[in-house]
Amino acid sequence: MIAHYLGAIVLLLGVIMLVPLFVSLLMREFETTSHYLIGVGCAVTIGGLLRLCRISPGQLERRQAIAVTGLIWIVGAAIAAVPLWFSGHYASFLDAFFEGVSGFTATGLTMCIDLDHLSVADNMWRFSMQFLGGQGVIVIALSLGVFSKVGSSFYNAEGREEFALPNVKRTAQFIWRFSSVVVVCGTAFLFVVFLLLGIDPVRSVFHGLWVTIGSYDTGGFAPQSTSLMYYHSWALEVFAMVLMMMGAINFALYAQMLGNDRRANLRTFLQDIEIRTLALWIVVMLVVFIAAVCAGEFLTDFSGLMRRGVFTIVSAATNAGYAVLTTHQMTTLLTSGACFIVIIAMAIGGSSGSTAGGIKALRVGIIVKSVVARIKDVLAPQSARNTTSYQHLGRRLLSSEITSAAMTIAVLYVTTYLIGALVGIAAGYEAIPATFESISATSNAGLSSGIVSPEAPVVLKVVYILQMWMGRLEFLTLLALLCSLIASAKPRRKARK
Amino acid sequence: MTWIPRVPSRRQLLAGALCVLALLLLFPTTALAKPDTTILRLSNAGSLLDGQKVIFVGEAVGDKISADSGHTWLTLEDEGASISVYVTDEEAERVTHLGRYSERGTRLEITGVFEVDCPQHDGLTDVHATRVVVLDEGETLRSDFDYTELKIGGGLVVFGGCLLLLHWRLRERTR
Repeated sequence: MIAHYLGAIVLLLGVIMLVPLFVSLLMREFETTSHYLIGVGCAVTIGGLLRLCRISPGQLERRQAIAVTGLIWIVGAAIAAVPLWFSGHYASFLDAFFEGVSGFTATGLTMCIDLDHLSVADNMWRFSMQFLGGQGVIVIALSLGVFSKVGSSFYNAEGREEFALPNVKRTAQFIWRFSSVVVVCGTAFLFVVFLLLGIDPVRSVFHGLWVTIGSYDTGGFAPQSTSLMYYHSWALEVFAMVLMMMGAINFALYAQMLGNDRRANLRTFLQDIEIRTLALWIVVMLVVFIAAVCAGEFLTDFSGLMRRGVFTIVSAATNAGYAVLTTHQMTTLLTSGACFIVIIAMAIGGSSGSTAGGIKALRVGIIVKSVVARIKDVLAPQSARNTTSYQHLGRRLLSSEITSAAMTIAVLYVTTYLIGALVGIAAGYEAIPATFESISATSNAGLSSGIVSPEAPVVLKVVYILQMWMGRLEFLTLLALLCSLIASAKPRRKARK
Repeated sequence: MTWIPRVPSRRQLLAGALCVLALLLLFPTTALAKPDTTILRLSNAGSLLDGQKVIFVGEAVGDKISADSGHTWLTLEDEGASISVYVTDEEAERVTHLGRYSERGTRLEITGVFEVDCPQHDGLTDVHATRVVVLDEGETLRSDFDYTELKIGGGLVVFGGCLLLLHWRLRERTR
């Protein structure tokens, strides 16, 4: 059963791989065409074999849906790696696989060698993966009707807890349509910006599309090796920040805001615990970052501090991963305090139900509210019964179950951050860069301290792959999958007569 | 007997100048300053090289990006590292090829001032070029179909298609 549904999504990936195949023909990159034909062939063959494991699909159990969701990110990344590996821009298949995982999880860490000479088709595939991953592979599949009988189990297993609309299929279609409109409008705007910068029209279209996807899906892949510094355009950077902020907001909040009473909806939107937490968090991080930078000798002029400092914090807090500072500037010239602020900003991340990663603003807001509520309980008379509520897609009571769930995920994130940092330190890297890279991978941020490269140890690459995967699915799906696999491998005890 | 140096004639002076010119054209590197650093070293350079005159070589990649009036941004790449170079429009015109897929970019020798935290460009790490020399024009490379890979890909697609057809037939039988 798992194989059957896994096969369906693998076939969908094969269809999507036709996009870079057609781009390679359009751009006369004929050597790349064969790479994508092989990729499509692999997807169709593997999808066909998986579908043959079960001829008629039956009712999928929740556990099976979790297994499919968990496995598709890895199986999909492996198939996505095939054409990338053939491109010659990856030192090994593991590096190409890393790129696939980074793309699908919308992380943005890259193993690509000589990115500036990468074909347009290969870049199109990288950004297609980020678009799929940012919205969610399952969301795309649901909106296209790939799964007709099952829905909410898949949707929840992909790390989404709220529905934008009452029906899961309608929710998926809303996310798909909303994101498509944003990408089309963003591409059109950036096309004009790039034309004015002197880039030729064809490249302006592609770069406009890619930077829009990278910003809105908080993915962080860049078409050129110097990231957004390549364009030397403050207009682009401001627009990219707007897209990053949009991508870091819960899709369900957009659906609510676009409802009937726009004025009331806007008020509700601004009162939402996630929006308030995220806004306050970014402002606090920015103020502390500016203070930390001013203590050093880098970014001493006001315009540079505002332009690069604000962008760096927004990019880190939304887990977008676009850089306007070089790796050397970030890790060596910035004060350690400023670098630490960037790390903390990445660790928390954006909103739940958005394209961003990290612990999530909602959980931070819930944890803070529960701490305040606990203090109130201690100070209040014994006979008093305090109740705490919060605004998130309606008024909700802050119960111990909700607080416990938020704390559990937060603890899992922090534990994973620490484990990744320790592995990096054991591999011989300095503590701050190792922590930076570990948090960037787990929170799917994508900013790099320079550790992620083809020269990195194999163990570290594998650890970062696992971290990106776990972070994207918010742990519980993968832990459930792992427990299911272990349970199915144990021999059953024979019943005593 | 005192040796009295002869003043060379106009013809001899002209011949000498032509010989020097021929040497410069045949062996251009002998007339240039030797690169004293690389882009990779500049990428990791701190305040040591900040504000210093540097000479390095690299391939122009990507696009020529318009800067403020009379200037253009080039991105130069070498040994896997890249840097932004601020040149005049006239110097940028001499770049005939830009490194991309199936395109080898113009190779340049840049002499300029390295800024690790450029105050003119809001803290960017860049080089303000004072001299640009073209070492190699670059070229467009052919990108042809790899027919072996096409056959493998086509074969896989056909095989996969047969599997899907088999699945569909089996499913129809069970209904």
